[in-house]
Amino acid sequence: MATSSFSLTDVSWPGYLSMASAIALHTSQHLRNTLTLRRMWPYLLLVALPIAAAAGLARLSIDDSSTIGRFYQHFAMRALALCALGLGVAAIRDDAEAGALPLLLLKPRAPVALPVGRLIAVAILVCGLGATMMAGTAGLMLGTLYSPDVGYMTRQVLAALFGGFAYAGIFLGMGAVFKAATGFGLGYLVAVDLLMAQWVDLAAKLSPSVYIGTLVQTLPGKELTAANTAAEMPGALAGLVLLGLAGGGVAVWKCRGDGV
Amino acid sequence: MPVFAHPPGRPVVAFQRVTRAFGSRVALLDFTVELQPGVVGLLGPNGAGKTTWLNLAAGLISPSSGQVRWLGELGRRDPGLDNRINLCTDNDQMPRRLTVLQWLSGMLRLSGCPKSYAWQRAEQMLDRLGLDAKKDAKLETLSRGQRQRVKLAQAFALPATLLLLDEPLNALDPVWRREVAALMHEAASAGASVVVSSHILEEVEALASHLVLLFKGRLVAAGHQEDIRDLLHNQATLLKISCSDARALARELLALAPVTLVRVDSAGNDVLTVQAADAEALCRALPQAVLASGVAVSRVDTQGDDLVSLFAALAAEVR
Repeated sequence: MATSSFSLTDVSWPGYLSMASAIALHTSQHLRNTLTLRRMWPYLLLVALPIAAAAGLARLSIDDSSTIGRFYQHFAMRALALCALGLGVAAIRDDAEAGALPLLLLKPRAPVALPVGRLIAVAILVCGLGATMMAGTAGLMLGTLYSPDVGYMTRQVLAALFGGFAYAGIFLGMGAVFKAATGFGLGYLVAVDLLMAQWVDLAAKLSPSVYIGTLVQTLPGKELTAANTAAEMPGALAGLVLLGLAGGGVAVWKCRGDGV
Repeated sequence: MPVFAHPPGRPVVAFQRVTRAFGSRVALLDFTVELQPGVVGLLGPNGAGKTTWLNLAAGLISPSSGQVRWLGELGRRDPGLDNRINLCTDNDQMPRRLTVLQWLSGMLRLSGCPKSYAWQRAEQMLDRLGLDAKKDAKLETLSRGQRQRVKLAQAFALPATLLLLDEPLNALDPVWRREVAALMHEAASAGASVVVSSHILEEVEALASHLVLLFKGRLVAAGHQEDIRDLLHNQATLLKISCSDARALARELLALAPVTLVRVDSAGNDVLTVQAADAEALCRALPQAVLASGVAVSRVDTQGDDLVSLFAALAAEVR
């Protein structure tokens, strides 16, 4: 046991880590801890499904212009939302369940840095999965009946990235607040995001899929025109960002209060 | 700046009529206690409210009513104070894919240490706790005892006025228990108040000069270890004695001063239960009574001397 260089008292007094550095540290540690095949395989599988489906769809060559829109809106984006559900809920809930939060939130550690860092990490993971999915699906449909044009695919990629961020924030917030967050998240996806958003105004405002639909112009009764897209795109993007930030804000509020 | 200095005479942490409830469940009720520098044992059976007490003392949760004061101040507004409270939780959940050194230095950096200093300090602590060979190992590869030492390294790495250790000796072998005890006394002699929570009486007795006893969220006793020990020894004790003639032995025992009740088992004449107000006095007198009765004793069991029973008895007194 080497103790010669050790002293409990002869230590310099620490200063404070800047908020940005603390957030970056939480982000990098969470990414490092999550980015393993053992943890990521369910999400990689979820992303592989739409890619495989796109390959099949392209070869079926059904002459229906709405098919591709429905594929992205109702299949690919749902797979992305499920990825966000798993990764977002686990980001804080796992530590909360294991009782590891007190150590991470104890002052002088900035309690805000943890949820913000985790939100960034989850958003990076979900957006990365979304980008992979878009690249895969578009690549496999090139040269087929559904060969996507640049403008269309740009909107899909934006939808995947911003939608990924929105879902990541929402589910991170749920994970911070609810013990049964996965159940709540699934309930939200089915009841609010899928069903109620069609008829209830408030649910539509809280539903990423409505903003995604606006972004990619696949909502019923909408005519896909350049003018429509240009006019509605900023609002839809802002809606998705706000939903993501609201979810992150809930996590921050929870961690700043009695987060343990 | 002296590292562990705190205003003389002021308690490091003081609970004043603190109650903390989680929904309808009251975890801590009307709790008043003051802690001075030294090693303090926080003792109570599972569910007594020890972890809630530690979280309140760390400032991680707020009381539902009452006040917690650190160095005489309400709340943790003094930025200097933030650096003086360290915690070691009882769970060993750590990011599994990080190496020991990455996690420990990361925790120190989050506490405000410059990067180079955090690495240097982390290496020193791992060296002290026998983990220098494991510093580049992933946390998932460590044994439970090794993970416990990593957590303790984190708690002791920074200077503290209040060091809160939740079940710190769990999973440690005797060698490392001694070493961790030495670290606690080192910190205490430098002026820190080291709070060690446990549900094992003997474990805390060996470490702490002062004890705080909790039972079902209530303070049942607090003070110097010897005073608490006297309090425990004065509790009523039950002995169950298996012998060849219970009635003959009962006649002898009833003549003893500390004995308050003797009951012969109705099923036969070979087991009797003895209750005494003073356990030590009964144990001193018992051999003489056995010899005088001339019966052969095959077995003596104590009942009600486990921690839960003792705490229940103390709690009944408090009520």
